Amino acid sequence: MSDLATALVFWPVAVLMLATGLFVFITSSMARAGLLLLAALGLEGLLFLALASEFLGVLMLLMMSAEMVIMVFFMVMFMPDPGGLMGMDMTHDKRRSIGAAVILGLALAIVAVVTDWPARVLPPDAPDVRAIGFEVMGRSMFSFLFAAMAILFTMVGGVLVAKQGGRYER
Amino acid sequence: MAAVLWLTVLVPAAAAALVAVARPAARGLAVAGAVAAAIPAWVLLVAAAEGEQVRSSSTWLPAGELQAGLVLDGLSALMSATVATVGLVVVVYATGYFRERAASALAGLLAFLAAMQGLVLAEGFLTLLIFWELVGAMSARLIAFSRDDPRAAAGAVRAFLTTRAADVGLYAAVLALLAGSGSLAFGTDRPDGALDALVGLGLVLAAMGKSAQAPLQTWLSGAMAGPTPVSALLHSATMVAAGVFLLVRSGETLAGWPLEVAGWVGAVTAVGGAVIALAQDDLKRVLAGSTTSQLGLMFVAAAAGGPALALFHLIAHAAGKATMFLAAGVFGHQRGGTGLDRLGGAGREDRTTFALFALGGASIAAVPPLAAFWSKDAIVVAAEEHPAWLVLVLIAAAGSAAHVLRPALILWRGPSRDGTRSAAGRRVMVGAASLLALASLGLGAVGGPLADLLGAAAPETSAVSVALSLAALLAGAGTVLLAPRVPIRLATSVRRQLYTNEVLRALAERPLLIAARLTDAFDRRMVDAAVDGTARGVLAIARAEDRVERSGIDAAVDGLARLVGRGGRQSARIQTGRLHEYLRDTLLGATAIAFVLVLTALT
Amino acid sequence: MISLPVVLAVAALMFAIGLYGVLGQTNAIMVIMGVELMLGAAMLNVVGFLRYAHPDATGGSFFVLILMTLMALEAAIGFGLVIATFRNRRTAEIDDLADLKG
Repeated sequence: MSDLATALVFWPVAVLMLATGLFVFITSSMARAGLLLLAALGLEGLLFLALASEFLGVLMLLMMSAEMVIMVFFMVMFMPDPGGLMGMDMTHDKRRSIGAAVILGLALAIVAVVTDWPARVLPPDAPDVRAIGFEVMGRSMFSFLFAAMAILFTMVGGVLVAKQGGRYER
Repeated sequence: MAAVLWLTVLVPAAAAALVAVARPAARGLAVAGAVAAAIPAWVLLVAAAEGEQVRSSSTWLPAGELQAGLVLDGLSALMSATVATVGLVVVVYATGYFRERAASALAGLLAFLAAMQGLVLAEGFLTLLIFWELVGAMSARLIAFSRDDPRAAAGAVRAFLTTRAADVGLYAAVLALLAGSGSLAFGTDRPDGALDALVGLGLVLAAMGKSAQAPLQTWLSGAMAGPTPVSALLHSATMVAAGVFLLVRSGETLAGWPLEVAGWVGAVTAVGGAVIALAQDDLKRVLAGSTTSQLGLMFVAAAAGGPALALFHLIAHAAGKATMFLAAGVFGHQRGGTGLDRLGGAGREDRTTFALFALGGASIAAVPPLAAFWSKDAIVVAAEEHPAWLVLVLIAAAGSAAHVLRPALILWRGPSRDGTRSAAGRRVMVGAASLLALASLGLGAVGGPLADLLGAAAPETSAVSVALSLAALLAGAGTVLLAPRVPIRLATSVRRQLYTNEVLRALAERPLLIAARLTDAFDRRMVDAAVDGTARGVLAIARAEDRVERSGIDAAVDGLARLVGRGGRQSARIQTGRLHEYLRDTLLGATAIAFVLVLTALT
Repeated sequence: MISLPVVLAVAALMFAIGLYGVLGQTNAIMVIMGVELMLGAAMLNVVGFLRYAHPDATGGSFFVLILMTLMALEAAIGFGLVIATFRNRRTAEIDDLADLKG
């Protein structure tokens, strides 16, 4: 995308993403929190698309949709006040955590802005999805395999951990 | 012949060991041993008479190349034969004398013989010194033979201490001779300077101690507490003669002023001993005093006339005095003691023994033609060059006559007492004694050959000397016969040996005790106080250190422990169990690390 | 107009928000949500670098892929644990899970 188009898409999406992300923790309704998170991460996927990573953007949108639904499911199961009607304050150390977050965020932002990054223009023959495929299937096959195994173990492990009665047969 | 030399010393030693072990057969073994011991000695005498001279020695100390060993020459052979013969007679006598513990006594006598042979056969001052000490030790042991008589132990201690004190002179002389002249052979010239006096006086002192010359004569009286055979062998014939032997043996080493000193000592002692003998109450003590006096005469002989004279008188005296002692022993067994108050009339009852006593006594009193007359006469001749000595010798001769006649008269004339026992073993004792008595008869002819053997001047007689001697004899005898009473005080002081013991005690014993007490006070006051003070100081330091440790170090350690505990408790507050706090801390840590990395990357 | 610093700044802010959630929320699931946001910020960082600094680094895309996988895995295990905790203690508040307090 051209620079102008990128800018046009980027700014609103970014601001919205940040806002929804923030509201995840402000709201007291659990369903809303989950959906807000979905919105935030979905908007992030859009950002990926705007930043010329089509594969990743699409992937993000796909993943987040399914994942957030599951998350909402869990939240409703285990939250003390899913509806948020009671207005409980579910935070602790509010000042300290806010302070830490603000300080760190500012620090990182300043570093990001101040540093002299090497800049390069996107060449016309920038690698596309095909290149990513070759990368995955070629050079990064090993890591891909490990990632796959990790997923498998996590699936099995997660079920075992959550099983009634624990991991071991009684 | 060297083997014979060693046999002379070793055979009696072996015999002593055998006798000590085989107690039942002690008497027979002892006699056989004494005979066997005498044979090599006579062989030596014969060889020496033929002019043989043998030396057998080996290195005693590699440093300084000191030699020790035995030598055969005229003097040593003569002395060896004398010792062996008298020893044989006394051993035979002893088999009859000792009724109990015979084995112990006989073994002791034989051991003494071995040591004495070593002494007379010694080839140098070192060997002489070794056997000198052995002889002294054997003498003390033999004196203390009786286990019932307390005077035996006291007498032995006195004898040993006195002779040992005099032996310091011998040690000093030997060391000075070695240091100054570098050789310990007999006849080495004395070194110059202070060592000269040390050698000369030391040797004379040792001779004086061993031969009981004044003022060291009191130990001989105390030694009479020993058994009579011991007195006969050691304290009349052989050991006490070792002093004279030393004077003669030293030869050139003692030439000059030391012999003069010895001569004076001998002359004075001759008179003193004779007078003391006159006043004693015990027959053996009379004989002891007589021995002292005669040894003094031998000292004069050695100083004035030479070795032949001294040896002549030594041998003659040995024969006569030993006979008298042996006879006194028989009388002692018969009357249960040798005190003159007990012995009255004993001679009349046992005439054989009295004859022996009289024979020996006549010899000692210089009655011609008995042996000691000729030897004493020769001494008178030799002393003519020293008028003072001559006078003293004649007085001593008179005294000898007197102090022999007095006990003889008591024995013959004294009132007879009851309680006479016939001594068991008397025949053996009398038989042995008679041998020596016969020797007293004939030894007068020995003078000339003796001098030839020694290669020294022959004893001389002159009409003047014979006249003087006879006059002295008659004067002495007359004194006893005509004037039996002596003022009590004089008699007491003479009996107490002219208070020699008291003087010696004041001179030597008292200062020693005072010094000992002073040293003890010093030790207790200062040295002990110092040690105690140190101990107390150490304890005080220990207690202070304990306090420091307890209050200071312990407190420090406890404080440290408390600090560590508090630190631990404070650190444990981080572990709250709350996840978000852990995360926060992790964040802080990561931030810090990132900070440091950035800083290092920037610089 | 959009350049690398901008993207990175936005990612930083998102990271900060996620951090606030991790540190400030009491419920375990909200914490997991915060982590998701932080991972998302990281992914945005990488994508920014891909676009503006190293366009030909296909390995970067793969890295983002792995990050996404990680997001999913972490959420899966996390939820499993929450279930187990809820079974035993009837609560998912991390303040109640302070048994390791020392």
